[in-house]
Order: sequence, then structure tokens, then C-alpha cells
Amino acid sequence: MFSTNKKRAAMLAVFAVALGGVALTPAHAATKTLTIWADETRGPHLIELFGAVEDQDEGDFVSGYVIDVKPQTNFDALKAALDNATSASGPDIVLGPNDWVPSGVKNGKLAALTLPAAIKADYTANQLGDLSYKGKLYGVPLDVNNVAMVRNTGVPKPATFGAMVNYYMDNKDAQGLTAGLCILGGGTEWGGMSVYSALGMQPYRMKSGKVDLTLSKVGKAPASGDPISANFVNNLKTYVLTPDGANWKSNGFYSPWNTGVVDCEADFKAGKIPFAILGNWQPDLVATSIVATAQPVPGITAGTYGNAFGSVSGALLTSFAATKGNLAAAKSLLNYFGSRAGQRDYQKIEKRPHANAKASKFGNSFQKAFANAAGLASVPQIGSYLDGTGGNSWWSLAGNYWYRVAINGENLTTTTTNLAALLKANVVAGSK
Amino acid sequence: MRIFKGNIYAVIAKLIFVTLAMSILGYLMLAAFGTGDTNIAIFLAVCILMVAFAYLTNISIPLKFFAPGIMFLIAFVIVPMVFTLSMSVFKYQTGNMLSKEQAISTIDQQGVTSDENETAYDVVLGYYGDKASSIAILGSEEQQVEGAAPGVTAKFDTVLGYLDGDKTKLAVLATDTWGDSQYAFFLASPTTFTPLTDADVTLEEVNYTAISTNGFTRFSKAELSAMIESIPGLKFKYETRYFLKLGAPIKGFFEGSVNQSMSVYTYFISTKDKFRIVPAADVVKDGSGMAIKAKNFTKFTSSQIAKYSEEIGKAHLAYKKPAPYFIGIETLPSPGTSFAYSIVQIKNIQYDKKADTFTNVLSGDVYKDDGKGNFRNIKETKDYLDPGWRQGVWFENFASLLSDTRIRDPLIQVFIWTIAFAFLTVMTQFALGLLVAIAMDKKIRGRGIYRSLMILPYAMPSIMSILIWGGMLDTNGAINSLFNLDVQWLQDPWMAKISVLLVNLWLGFPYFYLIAAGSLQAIPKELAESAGIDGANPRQIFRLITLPLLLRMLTPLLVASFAFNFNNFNIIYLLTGGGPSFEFGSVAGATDILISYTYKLAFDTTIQNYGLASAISVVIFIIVAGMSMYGIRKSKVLDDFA
Amino acid sequence: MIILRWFQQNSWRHFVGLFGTIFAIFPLYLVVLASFSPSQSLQSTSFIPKAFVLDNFTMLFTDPTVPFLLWMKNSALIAGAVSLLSVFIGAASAFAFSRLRFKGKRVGLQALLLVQMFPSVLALSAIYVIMERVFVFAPEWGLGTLGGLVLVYLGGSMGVNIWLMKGFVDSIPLELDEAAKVDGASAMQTYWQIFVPLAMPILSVVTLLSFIGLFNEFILARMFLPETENRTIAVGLQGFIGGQYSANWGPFAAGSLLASVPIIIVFMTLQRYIIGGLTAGSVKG
Repeated sequence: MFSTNKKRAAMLAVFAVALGGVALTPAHAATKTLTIWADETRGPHLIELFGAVEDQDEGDFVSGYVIDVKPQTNFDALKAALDNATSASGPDIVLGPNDWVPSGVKNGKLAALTLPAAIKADYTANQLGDLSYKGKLYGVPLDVNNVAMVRNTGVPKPATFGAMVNYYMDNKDAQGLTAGLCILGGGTEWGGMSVYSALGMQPYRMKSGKVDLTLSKVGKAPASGDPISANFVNNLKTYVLTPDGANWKSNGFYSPWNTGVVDCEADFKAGKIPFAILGNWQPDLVATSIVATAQPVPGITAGTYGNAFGSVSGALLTSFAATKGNLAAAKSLLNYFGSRAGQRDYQKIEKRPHANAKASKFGNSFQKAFANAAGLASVPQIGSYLDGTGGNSWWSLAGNYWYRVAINGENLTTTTTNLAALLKANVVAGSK
Repeated sequence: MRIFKGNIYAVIAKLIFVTLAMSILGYLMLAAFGTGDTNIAIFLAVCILMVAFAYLTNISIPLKFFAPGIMFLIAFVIVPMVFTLSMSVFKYQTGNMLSKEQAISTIDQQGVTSDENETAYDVVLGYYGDKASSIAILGSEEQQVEGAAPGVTAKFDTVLGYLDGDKTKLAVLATDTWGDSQYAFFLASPTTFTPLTDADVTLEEVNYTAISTNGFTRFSKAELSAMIESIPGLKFKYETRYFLKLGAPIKGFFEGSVNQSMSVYTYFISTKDKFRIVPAADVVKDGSGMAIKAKNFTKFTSSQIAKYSEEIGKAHLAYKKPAPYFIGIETLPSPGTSFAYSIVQIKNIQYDKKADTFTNVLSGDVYKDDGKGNFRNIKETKDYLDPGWRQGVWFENFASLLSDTRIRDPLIQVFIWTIAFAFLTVMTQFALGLLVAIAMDKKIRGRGIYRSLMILPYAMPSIMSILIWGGMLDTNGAINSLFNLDVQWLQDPWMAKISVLLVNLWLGFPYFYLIAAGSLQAIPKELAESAGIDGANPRQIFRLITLPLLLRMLTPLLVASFAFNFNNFNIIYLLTGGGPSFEFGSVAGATDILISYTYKLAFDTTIQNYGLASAISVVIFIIVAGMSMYGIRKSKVLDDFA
Repeated sequence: MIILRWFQQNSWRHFVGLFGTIFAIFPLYLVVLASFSPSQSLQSTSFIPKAFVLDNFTMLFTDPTVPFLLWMKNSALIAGAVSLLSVFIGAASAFAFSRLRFKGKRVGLQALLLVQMFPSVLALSAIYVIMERVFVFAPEWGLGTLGGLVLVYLGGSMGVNIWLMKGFVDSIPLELDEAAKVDGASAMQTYWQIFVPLAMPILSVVTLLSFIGLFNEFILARMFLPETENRTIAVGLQGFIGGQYSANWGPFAAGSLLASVPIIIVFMTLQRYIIGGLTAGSVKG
């Protein structure tokens, strides 16, 4: 079929063509780009703020740069991508919650920055502290994340926790209430924390801006930093539990998750639940008139409140920005994010409460109501104390606890003692 | 030896394919070399050689069939697998993710701190002399000097005292003796300024000077004489911008004059190696007195700023104090403005390559490789530098699987459930599948419809059906609401296990139905018939003949299904996420199987532990591989290839 | 009488059939219900629809943030390309494993099986890093591109497909290629001229099964293709219910329904071949 010569010629031809293909060199575009990663809600909002990449003139926001926002599918995906990313694909800036800061620094993913004094002055020490690790700042605060309690139309403003329980008990049958207080936003662990707090349990206590590390010893008197206060069990019995044989179960007032009987959103809207915990990212869930009455969960005595988590989300500077040579540009954009104008422009679209107090006057009634609630009673969300280096994270403890004592009917004292020990261990572990 | 054999078109097609493949691979190889990805480039080079060897020579026929498969398998299966295997002998977790080189360079890069006063300048970016690439900044250092406040010539007679009975709260009560000012009297502390009228004050009769007012106590003579030397120069607030500065005492009164602070600038140009003070005459100033242009200094255009943005961000420029002080440029100028923000920094953490230590030049602390993946302070062992690196720890991860009760105890529970889950899944799926197959093994009316509907779960994309089941089993979901139940399908540990099995049964029984139906038809009917003639009843026929035969035929599939479910990540992860967790706060949960537990250890917790997760992966692998190999040997599947 | 006997003989079969059918279609019925329901929850208190709206469907086609058709196209492209290519490549290997004699065949097969069993969740990180580097020098084949995901899937599907198809190849009678060998045909010629035409129906079945399997892949796709316009249908739809605080079951149900229908139709049309294919590989008496 083929002679040896022809075969050789053919092989040569193969190589020659192959080489020819190789010789084509790639051409790369030279536009300088700052890349931002964000979750599925903030991402599209940022695109709205900056405009699509192709619509931007270079240097609209940072001299010589266009800004490319890449929204990820959701928060988990965003975290996973950040965990895996290297400078080859990683972003210059990532929008994330404050508890990403410690692990981000430990893994070499974040880089520090210094804000001009004028911008710094617009934020509280707590807000900047939330985004700092070992004394260095890694991002600028963007929005406050918190929850507040709203009450249904016609429900009187409760002065104490007991007043809410009484309202529920008095009107349960007449109005066909399915529950007294439910959680629309933030779940048992995050949103429900303010309810626990009102009754006397908190993952950690604060004392002059820092976590209070004064913990009681076994068998000794309660201390100021104890996550579970002496009255907590009694408060549970008085307000949210009812005897069930030797143990206790929910008295129906507090419903942290939906059940076959309770559908928080539908029932609240239908007037069948008087109080609900609402997240500040849910501006459209209930009527404006209801949001305007947002307040912290009232405490046992009048004038006290349950603390809600008040964490900030920030625009965090990555170390990839340094590797890619975009450090100064990325910091410039962060300064814009931190500035009053940047906050005003961004929150006009994002519609969460402003982290920058000076910009909050531009907020709508919703943003203001939540900012107000946060001002009355909040506790910063400090990842190292909550995620439990020992593997006992608050996030899995909180919901589990309610399930165990109020639904599963486990022994209240034993379970609470166990929880107290774990929470104290978390405080100790977190302080290291 | 004939190499190009066969039909001319086939040969041409082959040549075109081979050429195309080689040129694509070659192109990628060069590109990879170009970006420094040597490992990938070498892999691609080997691929090219393999293609050439396989298709242009006739030395190995099987390789012609295997070459493309091998390439993909190595690149995307074997390499990641080896990576996982090798991770198991590393301390590889949150805080120890990078290589040591990366960790050192990150620590080095981040090893800076602001100076004591957090000195910052607004500077103009540009270059000094004529080389645009040598970055320079033109800065204006502000100093506050005092001078007379413009337009306020009034002098006040004041008495010194304190507010609210607290002697630390200094204040002056001032009187406009000569009538030059709009304020006849005022009370001022360093931070407050309160105009008063004569109704508010008590006057001293000689000079008509105010000596007391509400909340103000005058110092006694003895007190004054004790502090007399520190009084001249004290400042008190006056209006909003100015201050009242006290002079020397005259008979217990102090003369106060109104002054203001003024900004005076000194100008400098800083380059990488020199900090130059520039005379005011050599600069052009803006309205506030800050320099915007200077001799020998050329301001960057906006396109130059974009071009040199990387160098600008990395620049360490000289400061008036020597190294480790330097000036770093934090930001680029905002569009439309001249000034960039720069700060004075100290390179406080410095690396000594020879000793492999970091030193904090400010505190003198030395940080040494602690053998566990961190640079640790040799004096204060709690103090270490972030980030750390992945450190080889031999079999520590495996050992902790056995020795650390916090890892071991959940692992044992998870392991038991994994086996139970895989076994029960296969059993239930097979049992229901077989039952349906037997029921349908006769041409009954509507068999086609039954079959079409029953294989729907198998045809439907499982990811969607799992998620839908998850929503239905939610406490608030369709099942509870339709049947008016209040069952914690996914929250109660035992119910969650049952739910997982139930959903998996739904997903898998149609497959076994199809397989079993096929197999039933393959069993010769004569066998059953002859048994029937021998007097066996249908049940006996099934138990003694059909079932054993079926099992023999289907063993490989049952084993394969067991192995698949052993690692059935999707159903666990998407349905329950492994929950509910065993104990308060533990990572592992009641429905976690080994692979989902591994995934959560590696990706889903705050303290991500890849090292431990890959150690578990290795253990899973050994178990599954062992079981499958046993199953295969037992069933003699591979016997034909001896 | 006849009817009674028929019932005695067949009633249990119908009972089993009905039970299996209800079990199988119950969730699917709820999906249909949810997709036409105005409520966003998967909670329904009745088997009979109370309202019938098309909002969920219209949203999929009109809301620019949910480019449903684009996601379908992405999934179809990726799953299509991978299933075709992997069967194309895998069939050759399967043929070689089944018919050729060479050293290390047994070891090779066992190795392939072992590789298949390796718990690969951790390999995610390695694959991510590799494809990230590929993106640097070949942006059209790296992380975040459909092409890149195709490459990764090809690697992953190789083992299963070879193993599966080997079973089918084994079931094709040897006599045919023996005859070809006598005629002096090379292994390659036997493969292309004898084996491929014979195995075509089976290859199609494997392609289809492989296609469905790829349609389901979620973990890798979610990490690999985060951008809205690049998402696969599985990732895109999961976004409706996997959001941090939201669960929009309505659009999810509608989307799932639309995404499943083509696959179910193809499956149903080809079910005879699929069943044949499934059993041919395993059942050899």
C-alpha cells in the first residue's frame, strides 16, 4: 500500500503540520481588571452598582481598571471557591462575613490594609474589630447583619418577655394562634439567639467591648461571663415550657422552626402568630408598617432586651490582589466601599442597614428600624468563640438544645448542664 | 513491516486526527511552559510522545486502543487520587494550607506595621528625574503652628478654676474687660465654650471681672501658687475653631488671647532609595497649601498610573527615618483627584534565610520552625505567625483516627451506619425490585403502563428527585401536611436513617426491577417446568431454583451496587447533610456515611482538616477495595482474563 | 368464573404493580402540583390542585437572573459532549480489554476497578488547582469554562464506562471477529468494521445512561462553573432552594419538571434497548 519512503514522508508531514499548529501563539487582552467575588444576592447588586464589565469605562471607580463582579451560586459555594482558589483564579476582593477573617488570614488568603483616618472614624471599634485579626484590618465593613422582632398589626408593644407570653396565652383560642413567637429569618441558631439571650443564655458575654472570660468553676457561684445565667432554666419553665410528666415540653409559644402545625411566614401574615424574628435581608417579607415597629426581643424585666447577633459583612482584601499586582487598585476600591458615598450608593441597591453610621441617614425606614434595634441590643458575632475549636459549635448546639429539651423531652437540668459546660469550653477555647 | 495499513480514506482520516491531536497538545504544552506550569507541560509532552508511539508505530496494538483513555484517566483521576493519598501524611488543615515557601513569602509580605503615630500622607504619584519606571511620591507633611486668630483681637481677663467640684476639670471664667468682643463673659473648658451674661456671674468689685458662676469653683491662692508654673500656655475652647491661650498672671488674673492652629507644610519627594526635602520655592501648591507639582518630579498621567499600578502597590519608598521604616502607597488616586493615600510603615517581621527564622525587629522576638508547620516564638510558645504550612507528620493522622476519642468515636458510629446503609439499601432495593419483577413476569393487563410508570424514578434526574424528597420530608413539607402528621423525618436520628433508606429505595428499586426482569427471562423456562412436573410448588421452585440462579447471576451487580452506595455521597449530602448531629455540635451526624463525613471534615467545618479527611479516605478505599476484590474473586468475574 | 380465576392468579400482581406505581409517582405528582401552584413552599394540604397558575414557568423564561434555557443548553452541551466522547474513547478500551491479549490485562482491569472505588470527594481540591493552572495558559479550557468541565468529566467517566462496556463487549459472539482475523484484518479494522456496527445499540444505551448520570452531577459543577450564564441545570435549579435564607420550591419544581421531561421521553422511547443493554452487561448465565 505504502512504500517506506512514502510512509516517512507522511510522518514528516504529520510532524510539520503539528509544529505549524504549535507555532500559533496566543494573544491576551491587556485590560486591567479587579475581580470581586460575592454571593448570589450581593453579587448582582454590585453589578448593578458598577455596571457590566463591557459597559464600564476604564477608571470609573479605580484609575485604569474595570471591575468584574462574579456572583457565586450561594454562600457555601462562595466559601468553597475561596478555600480552593489560588492567585491563578482568585479574586482581588471577596464579600464575606466577619468570621471568614481569622481562617482567611491563617490560610494566607487575606491581606491587611490601612484605612484613612477619615473613613475609619465613620465606623465603630467593634465593626472594625470584627474584620480584624491580631490587630490588623483585613477589609471594610459593608453591611450590618442582624435580626429584630416584629409584631403583627394590632398587637400591643410588649414591655417584657412575659407580656408576649401572656398575650399569646390570652388570645390563643380566640384568635386561633398557632404559636406566639416564630423565626422568619436567621434560623434557631442565629435569629433565635436573641430569644435565648432574652431568657438568659448567650454563647458568650461582653464586657467593655471584649468577651468576658470570668467563668464560674464547677460547684462555685455563677460568674459574670457564664453563657447560661442562673435564672435561665427557671425562665424557660416560666415562659416557654410546660410540665410533661417528669420532664418538660414546649408550651407552644416559641416555635423556632416550622412544623406541621406552624408555618411561620404564612401564619404570621395571616395574623395567626403575633411575634416573629425577622432578618434585615428580608425587606419584602412583611408589610412596611410592621417593619417600622421592629425592636429587639424584650427581656424578663422591662427595659432589658435580648441581644441579637450584630455582625458585619465586609469587602475583604485577598492576598491574590498582591500576587496579581492589583494591591493598590484593590485598596482604592475598598476605600470607596468604606466611604460615605460608597456606602450610600451600595446600600441604595443592597438595602441592608448601613455599616457606616454616617451614611445611614440615606436609608429607608426598614434600614433605619434595624439599625435602631441593633443599637439597642446586640452582641458582635465572633467566629472563634462560636465555631468552637473543640468541635462544639454554637451553630449546632443552639437548635439541637431546643429540640432536646422542648420536643424530645430530655431531662432539662442534665441537658442544660451539659450545654453550659460546652459553651464555657467554647469561650475558653475561643480566647486562645 | 507495514505501518499504514488499510483503506486509503481511513488512513487519511487517521493522519488528520493524529496531526490535530498532536498539534493541540503541542500548542498547550508550549503555552504551559510559557506560564511556568512545568509539571503540566511535561505531562503534555509525554502525551504527545505516547500519541506518536501509539499511532505512528505498530509496536503496541493495545496502546492504540488505550492511549486517549489513559491520558484522561491519569490527568483527572490518578493525579488527584495520588494527591489525596499523599495529603494523608501531612498536617494539612485550616492554618496549615500553603507550602512552606508560600507561607514564608506571605508572612514576609504581611510583616509590616504602621509606625507609632500612624503617620499618613496624601501624596502625588509620579517619577523623579526622567525614568518613568522609578516611582516617586511628592508629599506634603503638615505641621500645626499657632498664630493669632484672624479678626479676633479681643483680650480677656480670666480666672482659673474647675467645674462640678472636680479639680481635674479645668475651666476658665473669662471677662471682656475692654468691651472688644461680642462675648461679655464666657465659661470655657478645653472642650466646651459657654457664653454668659452678667446675670450669670458674680463680679469682683475692683475690676468688674467675673469671679464665679454656677458650677465653677475658682482655685484658691494656695492651689494656684502650687500650680502657677504650668498655667501659662493652657488652652481652652473659644467658639468652634479657635482657642483661648492663657498668659502670665497679674494679681490672680490671667490674660487670655484668642489663637488658632495653622497648617504649615514641608514638602518632600521620596523614591526607593532617597527621601528628599524640597524647598517650598520648588513646588506648586493647591488651595490648601499641599504640593501638586515640583521640580524634577513628573506626575503620572492616569494611563501611567494604570500601567504601573502593580509597582505602585508594591513600592517601598524611603522615609526620613531609616529602614525598617518606609513609605508604602495604599491606594491609587481616586479618579479625578490628584492625591493617593500613603502611610509610613515598619518592616517589622524579617526573614533570615540562613537560620530559617523570622525576627520581629521591634520586639526582638525570634520565630523558629516548630516542626509542626508554624514559625513559633521561641520564648512565648503560644505566639506564632500566620499563615502556617502543611507539614509532613507521617502517620499522625492515621494514629489519631484510633487514639483521639473525639475522632474515633464518631468514626466508629459512622462506619457502622455506612455498612448498614449500603447493605440495607441493596437489600431493600433488590427485594422490592425482585418482587415487582416477579409480579410483572407474566403478561398481565396494563403491564406496559405499570412498567413505564415504575421506571420513572430511574429516568428522572436523581439530583432533582433527592432535593424534592428533602422538601417533602421537611417538618413543614408535603408529607406531614398531606397526612396531617408531625413527624421529625429528618431531625430525629432514627427517622432520618429510615428516611434516607426510603428515598434511596425509591431511587433504586426500578433499576433492580429492570435487571431482575431481564434475568428472569434468561432463566430457562424448562428448569421450572421440569421442577413443576416433579411436584414442586411455585414457592419451592422460586426458593430452590429461581432465586439461587438469580443471585448467582446478579452477584456482581449487587456487589457493585453495595460499593456504589458505600460512597453514595449525593443522597446523604443533599437529603440530610448527614444530620442530625450525634452530640451537641459534633461534625458527624446520624446519617453520615464515611464519604459525607470526610467531605464535611474537609470542606464544611470552620476547622477544615484535609489531612484527617484524606486519612479517612485512604481507610475507606482500603475497605471498599478489599470488599469488592473479595466479591469479584468469589464471583469469578475476572476469570476469563487470566 | 373466568374472571374470578383471573383475579386469583393475577390479583397479587396487580396489587404489587399498583403499590409500586403509587410509590414511584407519588413524589413526581407532588412536583407537578407544586410547579403549577402559586405558593413557594412544597407544602400542600390536598392531592387536588387548588389553583392553577403558570407563574413558575413564565418566571423561568422571563427572569434574566434565571436563564433557564441557557442552563439547559449548558447541561445538554456538557453531558452530550462528555457522554459521546467518553463512550467513543471508552469503547476502544473496553474492546481491547475484552478481545486483545496482552500482558498486564488482568492487573489493568483490577486497577481500573480500584480507581473507580476511590472516594474522590477530596480530589475536588486537586482538580480545582489543576484546572486553575490550565486556565492560566489555556483560558478556554480551564476553570470556569464549559470545556474545562468536559475534560474533567471525561477523566471521571472513563473508568465506569470502560467497566460497563466491557460487559457488553463480552456478550458479543467471538466468532465474528475470529472470522475477520482469518481474513487478515488488523485489530483496529476488526474494531471499526465488525465490532462498532454490531455494538452500536449498546453503545447508544451507555451513552444515554452516561448522559443522565452527568446531568445529575452537582458538586463539581457548582464549584467549577459559578457564573450565572455558565451554570448547569442541576446547579442552577439547586440555587432556588439552596440559598442562604430562601426556598423557592415553585420555580424549582417547574424547572425540574421541564428539565426531566426530555430525558424521561428519551428514556421511555428507548426503554426496550436500555433494559436490554442493562441486562446484557450483567447477565451471562
